[in-house]
Amino acid sequence: MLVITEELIQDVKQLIVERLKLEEIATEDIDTDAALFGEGLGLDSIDALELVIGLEKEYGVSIPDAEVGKKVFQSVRTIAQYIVDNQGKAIAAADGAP
Amino acid sequence: MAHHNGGKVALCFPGQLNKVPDEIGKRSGGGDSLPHPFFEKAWERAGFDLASFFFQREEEDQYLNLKLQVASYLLSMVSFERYQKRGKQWDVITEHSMGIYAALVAVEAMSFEDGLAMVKGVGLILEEGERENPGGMVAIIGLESEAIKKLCSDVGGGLSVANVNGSRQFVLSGEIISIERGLELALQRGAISAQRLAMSVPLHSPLMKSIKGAVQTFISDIALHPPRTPVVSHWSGKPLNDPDEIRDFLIEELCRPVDWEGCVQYLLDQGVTCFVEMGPTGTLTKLIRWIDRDVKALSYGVHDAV
Repeated sequence: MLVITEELIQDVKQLIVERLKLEEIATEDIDTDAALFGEGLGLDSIDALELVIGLEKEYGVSIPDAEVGKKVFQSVRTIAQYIVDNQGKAIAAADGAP
Repeated sequence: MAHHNGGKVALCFPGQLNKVPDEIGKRSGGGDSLPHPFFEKAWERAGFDLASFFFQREEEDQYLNLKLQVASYLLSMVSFERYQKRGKQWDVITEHSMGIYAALVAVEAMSFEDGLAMVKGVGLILEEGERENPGGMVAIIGLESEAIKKLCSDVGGGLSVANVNGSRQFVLSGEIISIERGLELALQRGAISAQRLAMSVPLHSPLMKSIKGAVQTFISDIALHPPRTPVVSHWSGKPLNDPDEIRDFLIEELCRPVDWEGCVQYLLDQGVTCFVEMGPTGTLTKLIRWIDRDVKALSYGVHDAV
């Protein structure tokens, strides 16, 4: 059973910055527990879809619908938790992750 | 020519804001201390105060979409003026939906004042049309084209695609009941998001045909000139060349879907390598990011003006 490591937290932040092309934001500017949507980083549903694709590509985990998406995309930590909880189901796909 | 790595630069004018930007509507109104000449003109000529987000006339102030349309126009114009003042160049101008009015001012096909009159005039026709033709729009993110087509045919009742914003980003228009049903079905079928837009008419759909005559009459009084730089149509990506073509487009576009994905694709094929969005939200920039991850796309914003 995997646990959330500091490395995974950093990787999730990196994924957000790269996938959303946030040129003015560094990973250290992102608070692990702060809201990603609305307030906080101010992401929207167009960004959410980018993150869905990013998570599929990098970790082989999928977000099946908006309800799951809402829970997963609360913060960097909730995304990391979702990866840990679901990656085992698609470990082969995750082998290619950086 | 404005070269970016040897390619062309396209300025993009976004459509109506979906909500009041955070910076707006928090100050006291009355036309005092407006920080920009465009905002002063909006107060003098249209009776609209951007800082406090209100119309002087009560019967106009009740219309949220009318206010959002005028605000969107003003903010895009401010962004464009900043861009121009800094001596920055462009090759082509493109627009999404109601962004056409600011885009036409930017290419000098009409004056700022006439653009303001047009936004307000068409906005009022839309608001009045709402009484006879109530409807709405819903933005659906995550479903692909085939799923969207099936959704529209399953819901029926005139639900149709109003914007093709990308391969998994669509806006649908229709009567209220079909919009609500469409939203519900989209979520059941795995959309990552389905949200009602502020718009209270089924814009960019055949349901808008009933207001065509009123719009035609209204815009026939507004002076239009040949564009000084190319401005492209948001369904074909091809240039609108003369006043007659522009007038026809302004009427037709209300009843026809916006093909933003096709428009961006067309411009990419024409050698555009940099897209600059004129407005406060960066929505078009995000849509371009989806269409082509490698092309440069940025939002110029309105920072110091509001």
